[in-house]
Amino acid sequence: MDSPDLGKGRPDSTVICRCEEITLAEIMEAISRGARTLDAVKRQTRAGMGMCQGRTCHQAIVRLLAAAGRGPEQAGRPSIRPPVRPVLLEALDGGEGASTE
Amino acid sequence: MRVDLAVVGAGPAGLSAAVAAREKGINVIVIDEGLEPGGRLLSQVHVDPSKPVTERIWIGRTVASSLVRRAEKLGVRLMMATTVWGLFRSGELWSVMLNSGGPSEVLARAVLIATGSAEQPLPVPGWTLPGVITAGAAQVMVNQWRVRPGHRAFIVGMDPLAFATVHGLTMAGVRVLGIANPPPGVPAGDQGVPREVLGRLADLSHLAPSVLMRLGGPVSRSRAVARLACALYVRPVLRVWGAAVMLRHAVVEVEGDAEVSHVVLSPQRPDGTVAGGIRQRVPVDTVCLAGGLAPLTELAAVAGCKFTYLPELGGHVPLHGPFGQTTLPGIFVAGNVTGVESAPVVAEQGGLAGQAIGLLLNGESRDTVEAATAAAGVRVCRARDQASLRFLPGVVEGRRAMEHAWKRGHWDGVTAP
Amino acid sequence: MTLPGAGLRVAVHSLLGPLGEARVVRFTFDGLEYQGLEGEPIAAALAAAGIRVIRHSERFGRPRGVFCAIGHCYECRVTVNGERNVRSCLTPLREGMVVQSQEPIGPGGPLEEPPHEG
Repeated sequence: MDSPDLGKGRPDSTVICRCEEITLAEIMEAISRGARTLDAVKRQTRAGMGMCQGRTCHQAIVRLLAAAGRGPEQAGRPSIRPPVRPVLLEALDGGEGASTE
Repeated sequence: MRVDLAVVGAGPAGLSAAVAAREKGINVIVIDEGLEPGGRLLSQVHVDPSKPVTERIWIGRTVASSLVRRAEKLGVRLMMATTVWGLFRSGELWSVMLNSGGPSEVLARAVLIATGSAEQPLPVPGWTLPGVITAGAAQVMVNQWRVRPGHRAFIVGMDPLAFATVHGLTMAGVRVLGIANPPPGVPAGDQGVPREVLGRLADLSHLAPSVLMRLGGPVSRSRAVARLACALYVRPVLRVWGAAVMLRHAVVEVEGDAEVSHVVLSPQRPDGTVAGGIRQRVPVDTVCLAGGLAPLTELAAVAGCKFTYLPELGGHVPLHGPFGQTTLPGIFVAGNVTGVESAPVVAEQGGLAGQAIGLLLNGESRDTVEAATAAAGVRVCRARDQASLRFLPGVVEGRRAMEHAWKRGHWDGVTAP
Repeated sequence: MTLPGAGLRVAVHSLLGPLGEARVVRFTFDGLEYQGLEGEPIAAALAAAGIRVIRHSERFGRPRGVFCAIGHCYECRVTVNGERNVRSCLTPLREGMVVQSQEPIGPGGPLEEPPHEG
């Protein structure tokens, strides 16, 4: 499969996931090895696992998957689990105002 | 802390909803990550030359201040600088999990998710260099922080937000040298194809100060004429607020060591592919990436709301009914999270949802709520028709498709199972 | 009042009018002292001071700065008074704040060599 033309020179070394610094080459490799959803790309490359949880890169990865034949509906939304923002461990512990079971 | 309604997001939708709900007597808290309420209103300044002189300048902060005053006067509680990281069922209530110096949780009978949309910047080689920011960030910096991001800027991408950024930077004394397309091919897709861009610019022509752009607008709605115009437009002859509109050029790289020093431009054919010809290196210290907006739906996903995919609304959006009710009783959505539209429209949408939630929590029947919110529904449609800025060309079709999807699923969303 | 970082601050905006009054406060960034306006985002004070490199990336050790300005991307994260991973675009500046950039963790610097730049 042709590498998407992001520009001249060394498009493959362009970072796609800024948080984990996963390059276009690494994502294309995952796709060529069978990754067909956002979650599959995430599992194989860590793209989307960083601090922004894929907020910045997921659209670009959806487009790359589409070019490989997986439309946005099939590429899916990344499975999201709380916390949707990084939290300090203390916050998870409860504290003032937390309900008790 | 226990409330009737927790609103997540203090933008125009969230604030309008809070006001409308509070007017029904229920107690309301609005939670937002930002330092002050207003959401993206705080960074927006629009000049619409097609409007009468007294209505020409629209300042988002003014709208926000007025909404905040109304909310505070009514007794809506505003909790700023607080991040909502989770949404869980807690018996009959919803538990809104918070990250801030204060309480870690709010318990609410109903939650309105009004988290808006997020930018989707397109990767360009060199885009991680300091000095490369999103188009929205440029607006925040000059209109909210009142700090210039740099002295010489270049914009990548040609959509309404991109042109608003050219304007905003120029008003703040930043020299914008030009605006061009993103790198051709994936992942920019159609966004970077000059022929497609010209068609989309038709929606913006009434906002452009250049007479030529205004004339070009209606003409470029015709495919054939758009092709001809695109074929003829090789050298950037048009300037918008002084910035060269480089319709047939793409930024293929951002150069620099510790920060941005240049953009590299390549000529393009009308279909977007790179043409032969000399690449230009333009010295700049700031690059703004404009890639479009998509609903920020993380909380709805985390709570377990069902979604549907509607590109006309911006992508994956929570399935919702006429009052903003989702497939989870007690969770509602309003504003850009349901589909990207301009502030006046989302404010009316928020008002409708807030009114509905207030009535429902007071025990009113669905029929009563439908009748009571009919006028608000008309206001939403009218605001949509009158919107001077349409981010998504197919938004009306998208809203209709959502209505059908909701009815097809026989969702109720207002009564607990 | 002379605004700190006068070269980049927009003192009078043609549409938004003049800046309101705000107290000038002092803070440090990586040990050097700067001035900013009380309550403004730390990232705003850094930008006004001409500081664009806010941290370095963990994997390849590359310079990073403000990107989205609204708390979504976490590029602007700094250590404030010892607390790591604080989003400087969403945190108000206070007098005497000690702000530090987050360099790559570990004695060797970046985790990996960056890919070959052809």
